Amino acid sequence: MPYTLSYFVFYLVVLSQVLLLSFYLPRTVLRRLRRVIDEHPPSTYPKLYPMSIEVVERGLRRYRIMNLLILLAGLALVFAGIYAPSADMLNWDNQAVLALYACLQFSPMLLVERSGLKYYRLMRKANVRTTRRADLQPRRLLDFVSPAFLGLAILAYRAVSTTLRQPDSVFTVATPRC
Amino acid sequence: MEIVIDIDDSVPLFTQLIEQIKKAVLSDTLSPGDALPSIRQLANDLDLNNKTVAKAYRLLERDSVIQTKGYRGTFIHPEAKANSTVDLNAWVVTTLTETITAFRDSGVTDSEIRIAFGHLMKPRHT
Repeated sequence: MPYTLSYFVFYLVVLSQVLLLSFYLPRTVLRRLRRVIDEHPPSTYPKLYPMSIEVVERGLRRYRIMNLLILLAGLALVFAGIYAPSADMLNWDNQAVLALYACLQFSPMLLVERSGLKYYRLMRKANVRTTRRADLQPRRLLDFVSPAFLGLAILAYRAVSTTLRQPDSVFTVATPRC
Repeated sequence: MEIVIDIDDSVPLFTQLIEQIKKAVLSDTLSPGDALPSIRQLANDLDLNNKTVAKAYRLLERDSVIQTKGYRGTFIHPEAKANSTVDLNAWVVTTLTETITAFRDSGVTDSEIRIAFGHLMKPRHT
């Protein structure tokens, strides 16, 4: 396989995806949770912990290990793809493999979401107050995501789509058959 | 602005929502054109059923206290302050009290009033 610009850009994008979703994001999540646990310990804030801290710690450990394994698999995938590309490896590093890997990367996030929902339900069950409060301020997209990150996401999307549409691109964009 | 509801209060939840939004409009805490949260957001934050919040919003819209602008969201109506002083429930109670008193004075029994009322309040098929 020829080492074209699109080839390198593609692997750069895959590498950034591996690092972002399996290294940076889990590290940020774990740091945040660690900070919450350290600054708001169960002894002082019992209402924050509807389940024992050991269960929470076990879940965090599981999340860290899962992400570490996925990160190692991703790095192996990228380096193997660069040093032994498709032609030698019977097209194993095609988009289907990378899509499957992306699904694998999202699995810890789904686990976190599921656990978060379970935790939230337990907290609600533990709440016996009869008054409930809410802010009358609508929340928009930019209340959840910083404009800088949103801009970066749009740029990344543009970069990937431009790479895929280059005439000398080794990767093809599937068109639906109607 | 914060909205507070008491689930143990005898006042229905949707009425509590309506009253607090009207009170906020009257005290200028909410001004015409201010955006309100979506039904789903408010229901989720208050841990209520979506239908409860939707009912409160529907009644506020009927009273022209709020207005829905399609996908852009829900906003405080330009005439909200004037419309917040109109209490349709109080008007219904006053009018019915006067009418029922007039019937009783004319010798109509309570059961006759109830039967007539039942006939009139049959579900409308439009």
